[in-house]
Amino acid sequence: MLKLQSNAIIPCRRPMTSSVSQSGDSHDAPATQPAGDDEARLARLLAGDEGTFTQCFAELRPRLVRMVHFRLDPRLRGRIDAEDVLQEVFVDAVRRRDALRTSQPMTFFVWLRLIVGQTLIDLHRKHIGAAMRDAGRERSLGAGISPNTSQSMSFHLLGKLSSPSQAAMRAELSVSLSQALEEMNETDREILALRHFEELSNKEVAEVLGIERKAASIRYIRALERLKKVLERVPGFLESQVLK
Amino acid sequence: MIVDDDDLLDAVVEEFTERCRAGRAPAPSEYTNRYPQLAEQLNELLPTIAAIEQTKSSGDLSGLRAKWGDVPERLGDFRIVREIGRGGMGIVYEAVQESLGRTVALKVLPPQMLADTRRIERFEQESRIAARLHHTNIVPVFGVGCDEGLHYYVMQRIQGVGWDRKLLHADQRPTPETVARIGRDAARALQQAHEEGTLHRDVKPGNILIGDDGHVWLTDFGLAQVLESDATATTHVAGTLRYLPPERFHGVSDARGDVYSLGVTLFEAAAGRPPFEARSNVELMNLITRGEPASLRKLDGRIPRDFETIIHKATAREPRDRYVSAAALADDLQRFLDGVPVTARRVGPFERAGRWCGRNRLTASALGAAAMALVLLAVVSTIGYWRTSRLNEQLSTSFGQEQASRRSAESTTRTALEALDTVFERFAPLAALTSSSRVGDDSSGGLGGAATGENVAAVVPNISPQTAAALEALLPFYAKLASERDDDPRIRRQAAAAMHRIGLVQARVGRFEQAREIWNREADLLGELATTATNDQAELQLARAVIDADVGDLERMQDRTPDAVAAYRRALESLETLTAPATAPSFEARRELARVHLALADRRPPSEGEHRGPHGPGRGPPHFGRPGAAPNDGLGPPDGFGPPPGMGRLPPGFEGLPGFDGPPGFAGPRPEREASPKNGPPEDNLEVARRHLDAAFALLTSLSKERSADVPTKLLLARAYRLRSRPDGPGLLDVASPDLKAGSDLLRELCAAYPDVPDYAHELSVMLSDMNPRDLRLEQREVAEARLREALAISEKLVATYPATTLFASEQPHILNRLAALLASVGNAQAEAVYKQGVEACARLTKQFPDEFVYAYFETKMRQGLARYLADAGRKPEAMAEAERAAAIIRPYAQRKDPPPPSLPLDDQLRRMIGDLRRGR
Repeated sequence: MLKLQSNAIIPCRRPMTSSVSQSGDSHDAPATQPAGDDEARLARLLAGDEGTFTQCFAELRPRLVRMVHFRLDPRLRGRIDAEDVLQEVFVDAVRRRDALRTSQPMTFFVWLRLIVGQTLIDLHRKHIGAAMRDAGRERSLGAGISPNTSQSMSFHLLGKLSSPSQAAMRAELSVSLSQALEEMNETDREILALRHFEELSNKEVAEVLGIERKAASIRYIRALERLKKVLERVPGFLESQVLK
Repeated sequence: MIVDDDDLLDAVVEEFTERCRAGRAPAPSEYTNRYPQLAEQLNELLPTIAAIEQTKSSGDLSGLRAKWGDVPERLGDFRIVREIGRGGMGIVYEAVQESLGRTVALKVLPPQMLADTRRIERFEQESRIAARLHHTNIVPVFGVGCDEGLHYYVMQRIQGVGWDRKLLHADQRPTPETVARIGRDAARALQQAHEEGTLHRDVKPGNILIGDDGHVWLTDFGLAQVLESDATATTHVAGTLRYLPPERFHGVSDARGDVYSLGVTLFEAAAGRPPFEARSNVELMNLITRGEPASLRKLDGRIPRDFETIIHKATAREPRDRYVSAAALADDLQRFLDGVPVTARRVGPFERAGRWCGRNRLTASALGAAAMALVLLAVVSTIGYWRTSRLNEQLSTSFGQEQASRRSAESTTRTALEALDTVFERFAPLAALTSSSRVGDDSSGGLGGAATGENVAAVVPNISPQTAAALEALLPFYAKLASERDDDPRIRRQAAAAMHRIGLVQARVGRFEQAREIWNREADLLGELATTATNDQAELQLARAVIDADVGDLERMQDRTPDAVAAYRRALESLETLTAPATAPSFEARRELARVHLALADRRPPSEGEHRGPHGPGRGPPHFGRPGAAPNDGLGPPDGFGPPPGMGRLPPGFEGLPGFDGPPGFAGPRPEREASPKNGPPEDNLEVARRHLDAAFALLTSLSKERSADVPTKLLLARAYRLRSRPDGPGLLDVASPDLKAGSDLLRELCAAYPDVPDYAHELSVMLSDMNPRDLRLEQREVAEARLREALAISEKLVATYPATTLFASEQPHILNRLAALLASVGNAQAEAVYKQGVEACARLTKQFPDEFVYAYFETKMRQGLARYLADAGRKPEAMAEAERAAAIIRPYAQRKDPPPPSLPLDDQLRRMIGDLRRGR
């Protein structure tokens, strides 16, 4: 079972690592939730308070939507709306509310994320069917590792660069990027996906993957270095950012 | 809190990431200055992070929603009751219009999407138009409003659910009838809007509401246009990409675009999956604009054919192939529901051909405008035929119906085949010497009426590698036609003929491997056909012999003489069986036999140099030695073959080019290796060649008596004269010989009769330049120079007019080399300029085909010639520089491991030459 690393059990909003923001610049860091508030909310949540449950869910909603968008098979995009997925997640989460208590100490977010993962597996199975059904592919969305992470990453990295006039070039880019990502170690790839696409904090990544924070952090930095090497090999990728 | 650098690094990185996401990517230097101990790593990482964060698709609207703030409690006159839906276009609330006490639906648009006044005006304008629409299947729009900076759209509240959700949550797919009913109602709603001058532009399941009572409502008219043109709304467009008609990517929208989107919607509802499945937007876009949609009935065999036909027509890629209006679609759906025949037709192969031409317009344009017009004509007439026969099929009732339809099916296929055949004859009319086997053309016995010369195309298109690719893309039509006619062997035979022509085009543009490959496929197909009884076995055997002969030419073009000889001998063997006196051999078979005899007779005059060029890997021991050294088969020296017959199609061999053996007076180093003991005396080989030439002359004489106007026969005859004009054994060439004159006259006649067929001019330039300057009689040098200059002028014109035809380009260096050698031998200073022109011509080929050793070999020889000239002129430093450049070109080939280096006495020669020059000799 996962260990809680801090008292911030329900980081409904992600606390900012304010320790490095010494310059006092004006970027709008979300206010860190007072720990006491979190504990009180957790207590209410575990006690089955419906209002708290709904409120926490609503606050986490954008982050869950982000996960759905990232993890949803590109073939289902446009067919399935993230909102539909989250409706099902909400219903399911309410139904399994008691399980939250027994899965402590797990943050509410990570718990909901598991339900989102399960819902996505069901949806993929229903809509893409047999193609998804080999055991390997279903392996571990629950634990946060999905089989299509490299494809999803490639899709999202290039998705914005898809004006029709540039389509041909993008198609090539997409293939080489997917291949390059495929060559990376699975956990490294997953850490990058979690941090940059699902926008999880290091602490959450550690919790999702069941590793120590420190280890997660070191792996992340290394993975980032590797990604840079990968991206360097994709013609025009890093350059296009400069030109942009 | 920061324990060590690792933690610090992660924290810094996280803060940087947050700031990127907030839209203000800070300069990495800001951080490297602040944390100098991490500067190195930060410099590595931060730009990558910035790239990821800036690039990653903001496909989610979460960021956008976050900026919405809280749900408003009221907007203007409207009290928000609850949220009833969300989508890319905004959030829909149920609300009460308090002044009227009615319940309405409010669609609140994302604020970012209406960021400027121009867009707001547009939105209001579109809404006003939408508000004017009245139809039982259109959700009524009451108006628009703006409050607290939020723009909204007021509509009738429909008790129901979006079709997308209904489909998502249903356990089963709807029946085709249900889909057709919904589609019909939606199409009628679209028709009404179109008549009012409004396009929907965003038809998709989510915009079709299904009332609790089953009533169908179309909603969100015109909104797409307002939002789409906003640069920030790309994600929205991406979200509904799968429903966009292909022409929208070029900015075209019309009523047929809405028909398309509705068609895709119906497809998806009926099949449970969209017509195109892609893993990325880019891929999807490519599929929409270029791919073939999945077939409904292949996805689900239970779907009725008529329904499939309707959907495929609605979703045709080209707007003109779709229903002309939404009403037409609605009517056909109604017909389907009523169980009466629909008006949509299934798409026949030739309509597909027509669509192919349209879609591949770029490729097609490579075929040239005139040629393209011809294809279109052929296709259009075919479609006309097809339509008529189809109509007949539908109209003819009772008596004789079956016969009528069978007849019309046959005539359709024939017309289709004729159209394809015409295309191939126009684009690849190069089969002057090939049995081009036209199916069903009994009179010419498969030779395309070559007897009269009428079938020689008056215009040869300017072919290119793209031509070959475009033609290859037509091949599947044969397969389709054949399968529709129970794998009719005649159609498959015609497909084989088409392959042959494609191979000829490939060879002309220097794509030797592609030519070889498609001829292999052709040979396989011919082999299969030979197992069926319906084909003319002799004709198939001839076709296979033609492949062997053409492969021989191909090998020779690549300077692989032993392989060329082997291929010619295969052809010879089967042609000799085929033309045995007892078999009443066809004209074509005998003519092909004459061609192969000529190829085998085309040996190199013995006075020419020693090396014939490289031999490819695995092609037996290299043969190079004194002139006349015989190859293993004893037929003749591997280098005893001069230019391949090449007439009509393939270039004369590169190797038999006297000029490449250095200017007169320069004694190249003798090869050290002795000839193989198997080699017979040179005279024998000359004798063999002479016998082949005699056989060819005998055949050609009787052939031209039979058909005096046959153009291929004339070409072969000219070639025969050329070969006979060469000195017999050691001796001098007579450029004024009667043979050369007869041959040139024949070719000039052809050139005059067919000024647009470049091949005759090409053959003439080969004829004019077929000489070794060393063998010239002194008094003939001026005549020879004039001939070479004429050949050069012809060649220059050909290369300028047909730049992609390597066949012509690769001839030019030989002419230049001989001319330069001739000029050098009489001390004419122009020799240097001609050599340099030759070096340039060679360098272009080497650059274009770096993998073909043969061109590098030419270039080296040409530079070597120039170096010798310079050395003779006493310009040693320049000569040395040129020789070194020559050596540098050949060296990579000599050193390469895969494929292993060809034998390169040239390399040795150059080394020695450089050494001599260095020693001041």
